[in-house]
Amino acid sequence: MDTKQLSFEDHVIATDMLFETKAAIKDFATAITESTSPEIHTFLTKELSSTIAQHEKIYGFLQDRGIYDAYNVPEQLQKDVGYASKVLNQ
Amino acid sequence: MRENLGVHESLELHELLTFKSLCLTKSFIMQGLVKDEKLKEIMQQDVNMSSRHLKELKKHLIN
Amino acid sequence: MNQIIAKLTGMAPMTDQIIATDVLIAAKSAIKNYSLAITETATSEVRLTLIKQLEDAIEFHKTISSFMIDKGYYNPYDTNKQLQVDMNFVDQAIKLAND
Repeated sequence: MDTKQLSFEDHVIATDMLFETKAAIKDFATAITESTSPEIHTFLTKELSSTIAQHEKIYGFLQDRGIYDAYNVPEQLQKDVGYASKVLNQ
Repeated sequence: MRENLGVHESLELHELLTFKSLCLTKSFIMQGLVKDEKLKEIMQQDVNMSSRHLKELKKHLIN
Repeated sequence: MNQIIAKLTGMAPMTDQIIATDVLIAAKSAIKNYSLAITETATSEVRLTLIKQLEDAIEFHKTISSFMIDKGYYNPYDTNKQLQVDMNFVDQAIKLAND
């Protein structure tokens, strides 16, 4: 694990990227279920795969920097409450 | 984590907490770049609403 | 970072539209996220809080989308016009990233 502490700005931007990729995955998946032409279907499927790969990258980054710990839920919740407090005090 | 909350609902609260923190930070910062007065006002409304929501969500998670 | 801001503010007429679009997408996501979270609640105080916040989110979505309709950023009744707006938006984004 990289011990270098992420700045607040970088933390916000990386979290934004994580949420954007999450939303993109949902949006592409929904669009696939609405598509009728095979070309569009293939295109959306390819885009979905690359969005999933992008999500994995940004998630991996946040995990390496100790911002996300999917294996220790109580501690993660404490971290999130801390993040929210930091935002409210800005 | 509060013991009287379900596991799944705690995780959903966590997700909303992170999402709203992000929205609040973005609206707060981007407000400075906005020129239209009406849009500025809408974003201020968003900042106020998100702050209130975050405080309420936090109350459920800290006990 | 300052260079990016300079680039963004340099496209002055677009900045408000970009920011408003981001606020609109965030408002839409909020509604989806709250709705999903409500279906997973077990504690009634939590459910009440989330329902109240969902109502606020729906109300806010109305505020931002009406603003965008007034500004002509968003044309729900004119698909062709909306497509034009969207294409312009895409071109601006590509230009911003490649300049």
